[in-house]
Amino acid sequence: MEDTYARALIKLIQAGLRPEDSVAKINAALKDKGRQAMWPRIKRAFLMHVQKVAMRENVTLSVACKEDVVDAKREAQNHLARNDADRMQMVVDDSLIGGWKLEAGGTLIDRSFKRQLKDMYKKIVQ
Amino acid sequence: MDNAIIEKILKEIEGYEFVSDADHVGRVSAVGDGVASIDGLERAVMSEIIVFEENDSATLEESLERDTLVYGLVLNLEEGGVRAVVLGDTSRVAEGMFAKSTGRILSVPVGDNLLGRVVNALAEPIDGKGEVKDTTFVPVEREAYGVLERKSVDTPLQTGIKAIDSMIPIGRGQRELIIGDRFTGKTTIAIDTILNQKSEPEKTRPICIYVAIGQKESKTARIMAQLKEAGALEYTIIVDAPASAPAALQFLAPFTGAAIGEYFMDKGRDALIIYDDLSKQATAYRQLSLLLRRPPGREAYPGDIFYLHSRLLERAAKLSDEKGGGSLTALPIIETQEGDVSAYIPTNVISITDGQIYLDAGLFNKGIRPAIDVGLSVSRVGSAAQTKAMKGVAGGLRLELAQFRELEAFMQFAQDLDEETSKRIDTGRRMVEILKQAKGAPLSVEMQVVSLFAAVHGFLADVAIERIPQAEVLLLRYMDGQHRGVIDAIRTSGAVGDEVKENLEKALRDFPKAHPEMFGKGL
Repeated sequence: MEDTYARALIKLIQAGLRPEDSVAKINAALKDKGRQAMWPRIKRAFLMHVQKVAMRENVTLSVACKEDVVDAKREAQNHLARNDADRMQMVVDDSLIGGWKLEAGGTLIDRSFKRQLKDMYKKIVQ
Repeated sequence: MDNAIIEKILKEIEGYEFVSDADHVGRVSAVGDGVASIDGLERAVMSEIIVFEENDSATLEESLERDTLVYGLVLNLEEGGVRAVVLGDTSRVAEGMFAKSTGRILSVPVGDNLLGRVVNALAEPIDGKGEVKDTTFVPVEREAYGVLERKSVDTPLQTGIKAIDSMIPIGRGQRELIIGDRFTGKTTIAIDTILNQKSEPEKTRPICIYVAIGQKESKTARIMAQLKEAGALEYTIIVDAPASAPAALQFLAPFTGAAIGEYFMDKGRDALIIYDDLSKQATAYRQLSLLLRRPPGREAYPGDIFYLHSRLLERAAKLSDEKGGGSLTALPIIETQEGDVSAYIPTNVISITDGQIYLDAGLFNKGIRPAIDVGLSVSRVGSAAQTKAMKGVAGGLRLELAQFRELEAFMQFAQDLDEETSKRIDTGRRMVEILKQAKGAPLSVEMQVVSLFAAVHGFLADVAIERIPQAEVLLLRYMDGQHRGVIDAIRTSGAVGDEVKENLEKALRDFPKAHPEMFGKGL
């Protein structure tokens, strides 16, 4: 139930309503039904949804070391829309050994050396 | 290291070209009890296989050490994510892990080389005999053949069990349920049926698939040893999803078995599949459905529990000649509680199948084995496939036994019985004795015909009831040794013609001379 209210809140905001007005609208609906005690649970569900949406919209570029950032950014930008490129976050992950890995909108492009070495290993072993 | 190997590796490295495609991924948001919730994967489809990316934060060395992947099966498509069952060790899946879409619907490898092998619910060998070569992948879930591609059941599937082949005949392509309480001999009937196929000519011998669902590993090992010892494993495939396997694999195993059976059916071969047992599959599916937050219905089973079994059993078929004429016969097993056939799952499967063999715990405890309750057992289509010889001798057997059971109940209260009733009861008792059969001792159809012919036509009327099993053994040995021609004639013609009947009667009349010690009620 709280999930439904949380989704409704997000939809109202996405539809262009101001956040405080959206909350007031939901509150009025809850008051009508005597369900105002649900607010803490709705808040938790709302936060979870927001986190999920944020995670989905995150654009993360992982590189093995700071020196690779410029090259990796240049290559990764070819795979992104302009808006996404602006939101790009950088992460240093030394387990990649070299190269880069890009995660954006449910898509993963892995050009890391780790992946390539694993791929090569599999091919040789098979 | 050998120079040749080093050279090979160097050559591989030189010619290596990395092709990186964009993967469609989601993130695991929760995992537990074999079910993972994944955010993202919006383009995933039902029954798609996903891979959990364990090595995302692992070092190269660590990821090379993990040589097996953890797969998942998408079963719920939800807003903003999916729910998938983990096909393997759930403890290897962690929150925050990537789940990659593979674009593949769950498929299993099938091929002739599966014969004699024991595989898991994903058709991966688990018998330590190495990988199965020359296989092709087929989807686990497939729509059953339609009306136009099928034909009526017309060939018998001999179980080697007198009570079944005579009164509840099974045809190739039929679905016959074996139902009964625990320890009433359900699996024994199924295994005896597999063993009996050994006597079939190789060309027409059905390929047997035994699917063990939620069984103890020791039981499956015992069955495997029994089949191996009898030389039946060479035409059998065991699909094992033991009680220790995740519920997802127990739910999938019957479908994997059906996919393997269909492979042989599509090649024009006959196949026999045993699902031991579908009650446990239903329980596994209930567990999965509840964990997947699907709404529970009667007895907490999900709403599509009927469809689960109907779509599985509908895959059993006898194909038309244009389709190659192959068949897939299904013998599903259902375990009842306290003999209650009116429970949810038993009634569902009874209504789906073409008949049922009901095993009664009371009969079993009385020593009547196989403990088949003739009154509650039925085969709706099998009689069309029964041989003329068997039809001839077994015609009145069912009715006679049903009348005997009625009289037997009445007899408990009656003091004096008239001659006619006593005679009927005596005949009934003889029939019950003749239908008794030891475990793992299937009989060929011609031997069954001889045995039943002798009993039905009163040739064993002078044998004391308790000595009938012994007399039967001697009779069959006598016929096999001294009247082989009659046996051969029944086998080749499939009928008891006038001439054969005359010879058979003559042989049976001479039997008391060969074994006088068996005759005389007072003995």
